[in-house]
Amino acid sequence: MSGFTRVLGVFLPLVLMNVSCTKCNKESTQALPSAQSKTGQTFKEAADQTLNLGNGAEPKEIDPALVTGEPDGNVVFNIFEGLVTLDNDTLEPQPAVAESWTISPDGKTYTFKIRKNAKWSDGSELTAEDFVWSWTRVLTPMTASEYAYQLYYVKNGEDFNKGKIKDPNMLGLKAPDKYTFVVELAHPTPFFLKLCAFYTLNPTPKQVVTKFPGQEWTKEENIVSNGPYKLVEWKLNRHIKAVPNEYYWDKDAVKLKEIYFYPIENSDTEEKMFLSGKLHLTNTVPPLRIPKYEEEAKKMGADATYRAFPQLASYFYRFNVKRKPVDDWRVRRALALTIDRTALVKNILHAGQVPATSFTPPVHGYSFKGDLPETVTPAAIAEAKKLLAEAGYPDGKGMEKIEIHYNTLEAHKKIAVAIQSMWKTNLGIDVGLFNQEWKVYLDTQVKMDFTVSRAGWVADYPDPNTFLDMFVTGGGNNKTNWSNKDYDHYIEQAGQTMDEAKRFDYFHKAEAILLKELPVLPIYFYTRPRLATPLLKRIVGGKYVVWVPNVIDRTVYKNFVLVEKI
Amino acid sequence: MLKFILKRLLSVIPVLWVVATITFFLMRLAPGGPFSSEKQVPEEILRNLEAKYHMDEPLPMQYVRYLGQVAKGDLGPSFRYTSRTVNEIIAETFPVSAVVGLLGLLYALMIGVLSGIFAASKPNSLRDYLSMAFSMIGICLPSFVIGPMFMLIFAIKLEWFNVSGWNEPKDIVLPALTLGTMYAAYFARLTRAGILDVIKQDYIRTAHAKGLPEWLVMFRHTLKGGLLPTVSFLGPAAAAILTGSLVVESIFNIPGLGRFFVQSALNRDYTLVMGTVLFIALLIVVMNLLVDIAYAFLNPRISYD
Amino acid sequence: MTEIVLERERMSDSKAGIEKGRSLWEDAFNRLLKNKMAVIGLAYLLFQTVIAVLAPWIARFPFDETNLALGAIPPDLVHFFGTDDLGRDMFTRVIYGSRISLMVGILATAVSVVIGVLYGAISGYVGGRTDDMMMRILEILYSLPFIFFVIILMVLFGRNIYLLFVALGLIEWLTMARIVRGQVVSLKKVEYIDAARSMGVGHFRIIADHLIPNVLGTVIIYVTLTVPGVILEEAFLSFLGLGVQEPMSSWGTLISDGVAAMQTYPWMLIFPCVTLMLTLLALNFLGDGLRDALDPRASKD
Repeated sequence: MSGFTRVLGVFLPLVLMNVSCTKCNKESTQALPSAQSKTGQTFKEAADQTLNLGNGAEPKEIDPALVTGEPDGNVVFNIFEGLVTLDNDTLEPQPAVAESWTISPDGKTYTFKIRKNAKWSDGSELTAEDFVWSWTRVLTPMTASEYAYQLYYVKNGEDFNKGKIKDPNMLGLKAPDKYTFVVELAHPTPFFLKLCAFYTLNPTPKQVVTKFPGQEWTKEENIVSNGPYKLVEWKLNRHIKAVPNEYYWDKDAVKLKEIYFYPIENSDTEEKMFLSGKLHLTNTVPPLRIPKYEEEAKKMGADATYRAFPQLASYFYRFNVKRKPVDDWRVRRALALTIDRTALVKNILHAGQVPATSFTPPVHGYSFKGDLPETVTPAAIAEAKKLLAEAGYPDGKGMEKIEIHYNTLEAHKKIAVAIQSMWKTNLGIDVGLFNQEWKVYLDTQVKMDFTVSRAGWVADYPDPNTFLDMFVTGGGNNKTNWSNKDYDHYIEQAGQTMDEAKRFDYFHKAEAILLKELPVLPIYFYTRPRLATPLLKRIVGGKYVVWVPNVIDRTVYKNFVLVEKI
Repeated sequence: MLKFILKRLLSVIPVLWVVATITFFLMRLAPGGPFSSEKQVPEEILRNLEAKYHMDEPLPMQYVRYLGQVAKGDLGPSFRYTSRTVNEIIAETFPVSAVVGLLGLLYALMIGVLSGIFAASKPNSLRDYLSMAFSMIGICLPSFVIGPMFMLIFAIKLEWFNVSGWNEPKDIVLPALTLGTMYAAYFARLTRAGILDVIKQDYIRTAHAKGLPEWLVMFRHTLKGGLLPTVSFLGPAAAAILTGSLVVESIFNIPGLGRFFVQSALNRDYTLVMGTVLFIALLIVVMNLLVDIAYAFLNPRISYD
Repeated sequence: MTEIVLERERMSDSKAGIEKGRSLWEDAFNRLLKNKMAVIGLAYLLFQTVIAVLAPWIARFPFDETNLALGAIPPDLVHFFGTDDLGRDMFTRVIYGSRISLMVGILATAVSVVIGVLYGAISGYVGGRTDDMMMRILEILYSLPFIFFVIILMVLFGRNIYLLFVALGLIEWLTMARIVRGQVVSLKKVEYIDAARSMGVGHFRIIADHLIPNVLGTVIIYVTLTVPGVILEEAFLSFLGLGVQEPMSSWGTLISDGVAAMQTYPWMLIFPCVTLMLTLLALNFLGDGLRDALDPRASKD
């Protein structure tokens, strides 16, 4: 239930993916693109091109300006399209609504050329003015867009959104003519182009948004969009149905005839639906069933239905560094040293998650080799015990009671129970657990009414900054009471230079501080387990290729087909 | 009798008003609100959101404003499902729950009452123990255990039904059975108890003494009194069953009203909570009224005049 | 009719004459003992209680000891009920769970019985406007979203386990009250009540001596239905964070956990379920026996 949000494109070499995966995962779940399956069969397009997807939960909304959730995003990415899209494999920006662009030498001005045949699904023209209007709408205070801060990179974007500037014309958004869209940024932003593929920056149809009150323009009878598909049905808690958009500029790439997004919350039911052939792709896999699927996958190779791929997200515990006993870094480190991360990942989660030795998962060429253990060694236990003694708690005696706080979810519970048991065995300390339902849990975190609290973070964009800038002094997502001037300094420096090597250097320095002081306890990096029919294929270079989800877990169903064996 | 019914129907208004008022303030006392999320929303945006929904006004003012709306029948837009109004949501989803609930209720009543009668006809005999043991299973196995079991057996192994979804008429069956099984057990126990209570009464002995056949005694005399506890229980039970169950609807993926009772509270979707609460309050009042009318019918000594 | 009445009088005469006056309760107890199934039920419940109390000594493993490497294994001689997927001994978890569930079952049901019977009896007996008022209040309480109520209780009083019983009892008493009221309303008009009134017996005595004993039968039956409901609802409340915290378990949470493992590790579901079923079955037989035994109209034939 934690907020999975969209992560932006990154160039993550398949090599990197393989390396991190073979370290953790068994073997052949890494299906490499191949024209034929292992058994050398060939395929043809199936007669029925209706794709059935498990979409996890009922979307709250599908207005690109307001969307924050994953199920919502899955739909929006297929019915709307931004200036660019990200290549399914390389995650490099590709022309979409913008057929080309130029960036000024100082990195602050982007000039996009809008495609002349870009149209809305009601047949009307999509012009540069639509982008100006849409982005302004996102930044308009009354729209109350939660992701408005993604447009703070635009000149005056932040001030306009916070109400300091009232005139939208002061925003760095211009449309000098119908097919030219010019964006002026406040600072050079290295990842801005990839950000343009994010749904918040999608165009929205002024002609319907202004015609209906509130969110009614997104209802099935009103909605107009510009993506490869258009929404034709949206039945609450039943399905969302999308069909090809006949006005889409690249409509020949759209091979499927229908997509059904099913909001199936119960993962057991979803699994059963997949097994009975009613779903082609699931949203997740019940953890207890994963070992069985992994077994199967070994035998089936590229035809395996079970796929688990790394996701740019981190699972960790926050410490409240103002509360005893975790106000002493030695206690925190002792706790961090005595968790067997590998055992957690292998025995509870099953899906090939990566034990986290540092806080930031490998992203965009950045990685940090921390010294947190993957398993617990006697040396680590000895060091931990020494640290506890130095902190004034020999053998854990005299230590104030620690409680692990988490939101009610099976996996969080099991991990907490296991960690509680590990600390007891390794350090001899008794730790309590308490769970709360989601909203109360969030409230407790904001109020800092905890000692240790479970947390998760999904990258907003593929850059270390999204993970590391959480912990600057007073940051809204810090929630640890931790503050370090040097850390703040490095993060700030990293945000002011375009030189990637320099930036990564600053990030390394910052992360070193983070891992020394440990206001957070990293546990693992996420993977995304799914069941997918091997009959869902992509067409790449004229061949049928097994589909592999990317690390930001975003799929646009262009050039996808359902096949049958010949 | 008519006056009685009218009086009761009129009492709907004060009941709904009290329910609405208590719920309004109760909801806002709980920590968390509709806009809290894991990624901390910037202050300014939070304020904008609250302004949009009039949540920046003083509470009593919000209350009066909202109540005025409700009085006109407008329950407002859902906080969570922003493109729909609460009225729409209830209108779309209640029929689904109601159909499943009705079928489940019928099944529960039939199986439950009949097995209760069956058991009571020979108390403390083997048939009694067996039927009560079976009904015990219905009570012990909650719907989140029975549901997946039924799904496994009837949808996957036997393939008689679809695993889940709401597309064909036969999709009603498994959810209804799951929902009804627990209630069937309740009805069985209550019916048996009620009948055993009545059987010992004098007028039953008289009937037997008069030589009337067993089944006639049962149906003409015993049952009327014996059904009393079942009928008492039926009032709120019917309201609950018709508005659906979160568990059954999640497992079988049914677009019903039931899940919203829990989910809207957990999401702090204030308007949807209010809508569902008022709706069930209305149903409960109506059901209780029907039950009270049934009392009069079942026990001639009860009158409302 | 007259014959039967005379027969009764004769018997009570002889009772007074030949046997010493026995209290209603002694009588009832004897009747209960004669009911085989009820005795078995009682014995099983006592057995269950003893195990629950002695759990720390009977269990072979600490209830919080995980063994991730072991994982879930089916029942064997070491682990009678197998282990769960964190390697914890299921037998230990089930018997520790029984402590919570039995406690919850008894206390929460007790709360609901006391409040429910009183409320329902008074409402049904007094009748008229008061009855109307009380029933409307009941309807209001039924409709309120209890999740908020529980959350706020937790905020105010913390995560007290006794709070759990109160919360559960406060939810269950509503139906109890309604059922009791229904019974009382129908009993109210029975002749002997009128007779007692005309003799000048006070209201409270009537309620205590005549109405409640007659209602007791239905109450007992409903108690046997409330206990399982309460035990399972506790699992839902632990979702909200109220109730047992891990690693402590209750039958409700064990069953909840077991469902997810139903196809892979069925023993995680079977043992808690069967234990719950046996306990409730025993409770039912005992309940039926009690009902029969306490029935004031039971004659000695």
